[in-house]
Amino acid sequence: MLLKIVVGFIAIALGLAQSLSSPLSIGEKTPDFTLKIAGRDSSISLYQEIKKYKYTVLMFISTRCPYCQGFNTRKTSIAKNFIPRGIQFIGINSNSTEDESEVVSHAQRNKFPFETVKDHQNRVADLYGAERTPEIFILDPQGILKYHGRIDENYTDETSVQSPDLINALNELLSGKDVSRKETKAFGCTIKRI
Amino acid sequence: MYHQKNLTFFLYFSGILFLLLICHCGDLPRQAKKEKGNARVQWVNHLEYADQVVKPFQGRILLVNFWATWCVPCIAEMPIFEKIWRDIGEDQFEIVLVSIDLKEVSHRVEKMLKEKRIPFTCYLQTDSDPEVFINAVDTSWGGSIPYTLIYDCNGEIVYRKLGQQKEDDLKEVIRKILEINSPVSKDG
Repeated sequence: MLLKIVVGFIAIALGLAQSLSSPLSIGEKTPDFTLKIAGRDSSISLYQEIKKYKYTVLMFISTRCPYCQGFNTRKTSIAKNFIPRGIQFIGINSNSTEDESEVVSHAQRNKFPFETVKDHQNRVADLYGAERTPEIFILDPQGILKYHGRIDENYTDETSVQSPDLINALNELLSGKDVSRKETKAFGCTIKRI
Repeated sequence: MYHQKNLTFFLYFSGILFLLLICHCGDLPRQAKKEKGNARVQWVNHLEYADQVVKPFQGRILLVNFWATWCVPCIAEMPIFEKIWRDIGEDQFEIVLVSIDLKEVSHRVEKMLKEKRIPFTCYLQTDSDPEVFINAVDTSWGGSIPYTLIYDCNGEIVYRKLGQQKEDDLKEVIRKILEINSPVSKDG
């Protein structure tokens, strides 16, 4: 009886407690990928691109997730602020429910000053262990992960942000410092995988 | 001699009671009978989560679903919780909802629960920084919703599910958990 209970608990722990996607660790080399730019005939090959910039910001984003939409103006303003300082921004849409034309119109509507790639079959989201939108990864020119997490903690009110984590991380990196808060969490929409 | 017998009886009785508390998930106090559309919304923060949401149901299987009024898949999957709860047996396990909507829009949460006639208790998380709440709930959770946890009768997480669930899959999972946590073994 006791054995059965113990075995049962182990079975639950191993079998039923589903493991969540394991995101990359800070300091780990991030996987390369080549994805077509939404609305264009060209592609972005990550390893070729990251060499050209001081740092690259990968943003897993959505066209529909209300939480992610709360950051649309910040995605634009942060990119506009940091692109002239040598930072590259790449939007990645991995949602199976949002097609390429929707990604293009969403980017145009929000005047994103960066390209967005369509991650068909969420292969890159799986490689990176990306779970939600918005979710940020900052890479150095060698592809080493320097920051993983959120844009900030407040999706509704930009003026009330207490912890501008993405901005802080970029400023620290550009100043030659280590990122003080390397991993952060926030709510968000689950990436709609196939 | 009389005292020794009493002591033996007391120890024996305490042992049985302890075993029942550990293994039995059926007879501890449960929520008041749930009525459709009578879901109550209470506020909870990261310091209160364990004591307010999980601890009251220790001794029973507890499913906690994290959702928001703005989350389309969350709203889509909500009816399956009640269906499974009624199919498996309302006295078999408990369901509690935790909304991650902002507390300023708690009226939206209450309105939606009433409209959807949800019978479960619903908490609304109130931390201004979501990270502290997320980590208090489950450090392996990144924060995306819908997110569902199932706690065993010891209050330990035995199931995690990110994203919208399928009714049959969840029902099977709950049945397995209930089977393992059943007080009476089939082979005695």
